Amino acid sequence: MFSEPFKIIFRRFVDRLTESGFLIISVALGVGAFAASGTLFVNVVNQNDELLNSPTYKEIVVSTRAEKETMEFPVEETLLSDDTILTQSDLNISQMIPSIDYAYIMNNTRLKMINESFINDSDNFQHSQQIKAINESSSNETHIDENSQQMELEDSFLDENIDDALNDKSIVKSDADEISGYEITFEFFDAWNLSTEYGSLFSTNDYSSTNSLIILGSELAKTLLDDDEDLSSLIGKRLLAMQGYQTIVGILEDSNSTYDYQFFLPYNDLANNIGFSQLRKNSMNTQLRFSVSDSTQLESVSSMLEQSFESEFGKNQVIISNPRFEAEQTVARNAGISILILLLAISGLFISSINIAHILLSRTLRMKKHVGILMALGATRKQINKLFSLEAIMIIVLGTVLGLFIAIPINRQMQSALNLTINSNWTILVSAFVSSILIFSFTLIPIRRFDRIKPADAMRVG
Amino acid sequence: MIDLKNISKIYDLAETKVKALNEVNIHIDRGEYIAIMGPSGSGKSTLMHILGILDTASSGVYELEGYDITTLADKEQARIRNNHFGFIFQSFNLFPELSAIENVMLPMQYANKSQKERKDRAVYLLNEVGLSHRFNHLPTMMSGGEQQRVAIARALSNEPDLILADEPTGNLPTDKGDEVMQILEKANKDGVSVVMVTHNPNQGKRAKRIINVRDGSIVLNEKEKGVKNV
Repeated sequence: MFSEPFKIIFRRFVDRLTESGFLIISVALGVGAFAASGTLFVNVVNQNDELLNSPTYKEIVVSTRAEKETMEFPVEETLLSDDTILTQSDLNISQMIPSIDYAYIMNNTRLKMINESFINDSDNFQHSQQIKAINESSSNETHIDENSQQMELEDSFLDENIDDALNDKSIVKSDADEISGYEITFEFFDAWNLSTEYGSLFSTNDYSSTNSLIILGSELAKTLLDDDEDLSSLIGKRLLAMQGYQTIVGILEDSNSTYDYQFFLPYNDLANNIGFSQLRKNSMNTQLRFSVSDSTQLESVSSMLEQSFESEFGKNQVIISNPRFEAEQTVARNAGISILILLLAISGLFISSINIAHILLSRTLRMKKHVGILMALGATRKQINKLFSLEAIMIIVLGTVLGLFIAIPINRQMQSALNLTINSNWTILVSAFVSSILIFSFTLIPIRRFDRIKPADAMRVG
Repeated sequence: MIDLKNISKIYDLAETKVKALNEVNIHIDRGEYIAIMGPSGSGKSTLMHILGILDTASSGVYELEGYDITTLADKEQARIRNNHFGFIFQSFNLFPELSAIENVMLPMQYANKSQKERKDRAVYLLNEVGLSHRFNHLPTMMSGGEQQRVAIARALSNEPDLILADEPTGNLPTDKGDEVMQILEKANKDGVSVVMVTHNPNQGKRAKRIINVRDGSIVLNEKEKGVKNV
C-alpha cells in the first residue's frame, strides 16, 4: 500500500519516537500559541470595529438617574433631582443640533407572563385571583402597587377568565416567567436600522393609542411558537401577560444582536391614561438618546446638549453620558493586550520553528547515507526532497492537531477574560494553518541541503 | 556499451587538489566480466562511482550506448542508474528499516512498477539467491552473506545492463564470499555485464578482464589470457 521509501521514513519516525514526540510537541506549542493569540487578535480587531460602529457607541444618553457604574461611591441608583422630569418633548432639543440624526427614548421594561406554571404556583394563583377580584370591583384605570411595581390591567384581561385564556389557542402564552424589552419612541427603529420580517412597525397613531401593542424580536418570537406554527401566524394574536393582553403587530428581522431576544412597546408619556404620578415614575426610568452618524461629533453634541438641558432644568439636574468614551478605553486596552500576546506567540513560534529546523537538520544529516543509497537506486533529488518533506509534514500535521487542542481552550479563556464574543472556529483553523506553513518553510532548510549533493559523497558517510 | 574517454577526477580539498583519476580510457562491452584491481587509494572506487554516475568527472566524456551522458540533468542520471545499473557495496548498504523483500522492491518503485510487479519480482529474485525463508527478515536479523545476497537481488531487480560491485566479498568470510561470486557469475552468464572492484587476486582471476589502477591511471588492461587492450 505504501511505497518502500515512505516506509523507511515512517519506520524511522516510529523508531525515534521520543525525538519525534519532542518535535510534535514543539510544533503543537508553536502552533497552539500562535493560533490562540492570532485568533484573539483578529477577534479583538473585528469586535472592536463592531463595537465602535454599534449605534450604542454613537449616541449620548441623557437621564435623571445616576447609574451605579458612573457614581464615585456606587451604593445604589439615585435620582439627581425630584423636580426634573424628562419627557418625550425633551427630544425636540435635537432639532437645534444638526449633527443629531435620531433622538428617541429607550427604557427597560419587563412583562410578567401568565402560564401553566404561574397558575400552579399557589401564591401567584391567589395573587391573580386577588387581581381579578380587585379589578372586578374597580375602574379600568386602577393601579395595583405590588412589590413597588405598578401593574396595569387592560379591559380585555378583566373580561376573561384566566383558565379560559390558557386554553384558548388564539392567545399566545410564554413558558418564561417574564420577558424583557424596551419602551421606545419611533426613531429607535431607524437609529438601529431594524425592520420587521412579519407584520409592521408601530404606526404614528400607535404611539398615542391606549391599545397595548407589542413588536417581538425574532428569537423571542420563536419561543412563543407551537411546534407546527410559523412566525407569521403570531401577527395579530394577543400575548397573555400580567399587565394585560399585548397584541402582536410585528416580528423583527434577525439582527444578530440582543434585540432578537427582546420585545418593544410604544412609549408615550402624553397618552391620556398617564397621570402625573405615573409620569413621575416613568421619568425615573427615562433615558433620552441622541444618536449621531459621525462619532467625532459626539463630544461637541454632548456639550451642546449639556448647555440646552442646563438652560431648561438648571445645573446638574440631568446626567449626560457618552458611552463611547469608555468603549474606546476598553478597545484600546484589548488591542494592546492582544498585540502583546501575539508578539509573544510569534516569538515562540519563531523559536520553535528554529528548534524544529535544527533537530530535523541533525536528523537529516544522520540520513545522509540513506540519501546516497536512494539516489544510487534511482531516486531523483526531487523525490528525495519530497520524501523528507513528507516526514516534516507528518510531524507538522500531528503537531498542528495537538496544537488546536491547546489553542481552542486557551483562546476561549483569553476571549472571555477580555469580554469578547467567542466566535473563532474558522479563525483558529486559519491561524493554525498559517503557523504550520511557517514551520514547514523552516523545515525546508535541512531538506534543501541535499539539493546539490552527489550520491557518492552521500554514501561516504558512516 | 560504455566508453570512458580521457576521464579525470580532481578533488578540491582545503588547500590542495588531489587527482584521483588521470585521463582514464575504458571501453566496456555487453556481457563483460571485469575486475578492477589496485592498491588502496589508487582510484578504483572513484572509477566505479564515475562508471555508475554516482559522481561526475572533472573532465572527459562518458558515453553510454553512444550517447554522451557526461552532463545530463539529475532526473536523467537517476533514470539511467535505475534502469541500466545495479549496485553492490562492500557494506551491503541495505535499509535497516525495510525487510529483505522491501529492500529488493525499492528500486522498482522508482521504475514506476506496480506493487504486484515489485513483489512478484522480489520473490523470484530472493528465491534465486537462496533466501526464500528470509523474505520478511530485517537486515539486522541476517548474516553478512545473506545481506549481500539481498543486495545482489536488489541490484538485479530492474534487470540492469551492468552490475557495479565495490568489493562485494570484502566483509564476508571466504565460503560466503564464494557464494556471492557464484551468484554474480551466474548473472553474468545470463547476459548482465559485471564490473567488480576487488583486492582478492583469486577473484580477479575469475573475471574475463582485469583493469589495474595505480595512482589514478590504468597501468594494465588485460583482456582474456593476457591480451592487452588499453
